[in-house]
Amino acid sequence: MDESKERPRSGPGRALIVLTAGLAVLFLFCSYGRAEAQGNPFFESPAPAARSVSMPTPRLQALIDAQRTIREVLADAVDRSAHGGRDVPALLALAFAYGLLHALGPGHRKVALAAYFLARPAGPLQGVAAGASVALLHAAAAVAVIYGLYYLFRATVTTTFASVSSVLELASYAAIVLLGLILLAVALRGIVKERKTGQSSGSGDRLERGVVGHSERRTLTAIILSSGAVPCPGTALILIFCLSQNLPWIGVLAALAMSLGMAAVTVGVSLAAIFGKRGLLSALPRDSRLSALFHHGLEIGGAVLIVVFGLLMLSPYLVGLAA
Amino acid sequence: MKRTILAIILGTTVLWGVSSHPHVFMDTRIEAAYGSEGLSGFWITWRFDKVFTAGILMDFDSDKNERFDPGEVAIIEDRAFSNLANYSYFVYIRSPKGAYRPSKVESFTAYMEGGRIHYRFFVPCAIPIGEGEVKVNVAVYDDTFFCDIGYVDTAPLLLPASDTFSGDYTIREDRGIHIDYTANDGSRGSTVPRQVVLTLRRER
Repeated sequence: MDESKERPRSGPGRALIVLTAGLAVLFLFCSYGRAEAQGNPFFESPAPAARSVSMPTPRLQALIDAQRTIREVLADAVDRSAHGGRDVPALLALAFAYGLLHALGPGHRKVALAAYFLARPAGPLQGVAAGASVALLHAAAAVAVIYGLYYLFRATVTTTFASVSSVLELASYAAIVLLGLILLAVALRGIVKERKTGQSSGSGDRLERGVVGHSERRTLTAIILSSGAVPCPGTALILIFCLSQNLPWIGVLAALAMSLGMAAVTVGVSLAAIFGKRGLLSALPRDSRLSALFHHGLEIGGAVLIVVFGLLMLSPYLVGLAA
Repeated sequence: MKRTILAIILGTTVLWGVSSHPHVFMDTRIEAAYGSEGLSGFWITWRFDKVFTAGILMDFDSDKNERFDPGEVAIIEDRAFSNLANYSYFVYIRSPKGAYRPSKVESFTAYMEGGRIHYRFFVPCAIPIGEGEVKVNVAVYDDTFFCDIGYVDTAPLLLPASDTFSGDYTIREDRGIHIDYTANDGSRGSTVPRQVVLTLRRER
């Protein structure tokens, strides 16, 4: 029995799903104004740090203040470990909390992930795997770059990191734009094919139910790799601090704990996009013209969002190159 | 229903995400300086967090004595400060003369105190004080959100003793008072950070 055809289409539960879906989609659009590349303004970089003309709200300032406090306490805990203290579990718990708060801000590829999951079929498992992989890669890249620089060029870790990071970011954003264009081409090809044959390709149903094919696995892997391979500056600073205290292994463990904290956010964003999309699509009459319009709208809209996101993040580099 | 609740929790969590993303935390102190006709400018001191401090020590404290000699200070200025000219050193000033963002500063130095690196520099900004009160707003704020800049708890603004001028100040976030600016790259914006509002007068 195809249980999807027997799902109720009304009721308060469905209304809440639709509301949540609306909020998730709204987030994606709202976050664009703030999703900008963040270079370190203290150091010369190919990409000038992007400016904002708005201020954090009091609630968001509270989030920043919490980050400030946790990082100070975390630095004290690392300091104590360097002087014979034994509070490593507490240190890792602080690193987890710092990673979580840190990832709640813009960046960490939340927009790219959420836009992908709006555009392509995916189940919760893919959402969890992708969110966690991006966060872990993000931190692993910081460990690789910082430790590589430290042991190769000990005297210029911080400044060289800013330059290396810029190059990796440039490559990452270019790859994201390319992937967005590929997803857009796939979506448009599906629409053209449907028009020619006059038959539904079933992509809408797959999109709603999260049926994942070979091509989706490939594109999701590409999104994960291109998004996660950029080192997280927040993790990098913690690693530098641990290295300065001669605690390289504590640095690796703290980076891992931070990445788990960040993963809680990136997984949450991925799942919100997946469930939000399902909520929206399941609220529409099946096999209707409106439903088909929405399916294609999400496929195209998600792909366009990925392209726009990549271009926005690339823009400071392009301005820097043109100057 | 479980899925609905999960989705709502996640959706709400996601909405928190539209926020700033600081990597460096610093506190600032502003010291007004008087000239013969009024204000001559401001000394700005930044106290950085321990994590940023560790990075600067690692790269620029070549003799690893946790002190910076003049040679090391010059390198820090060149490689970890002068680029801030592109961001007007995060300084916003508004006076009866209009809005001002500095393109150059003077007398930079860096030093360690309490286990943290401090930057200190002078922002030249002549503002005459004649008859009547003069109001000057000063804010130190990073509009790239890479740095979260607060004010030191004790004496965030210092006014020098003077027989000619006197003044007082408040620190406030007044959303009714925007600081409009034109950045060095020509971009324009408006911001309302917590700002020091100075009221200055000439003694009779």
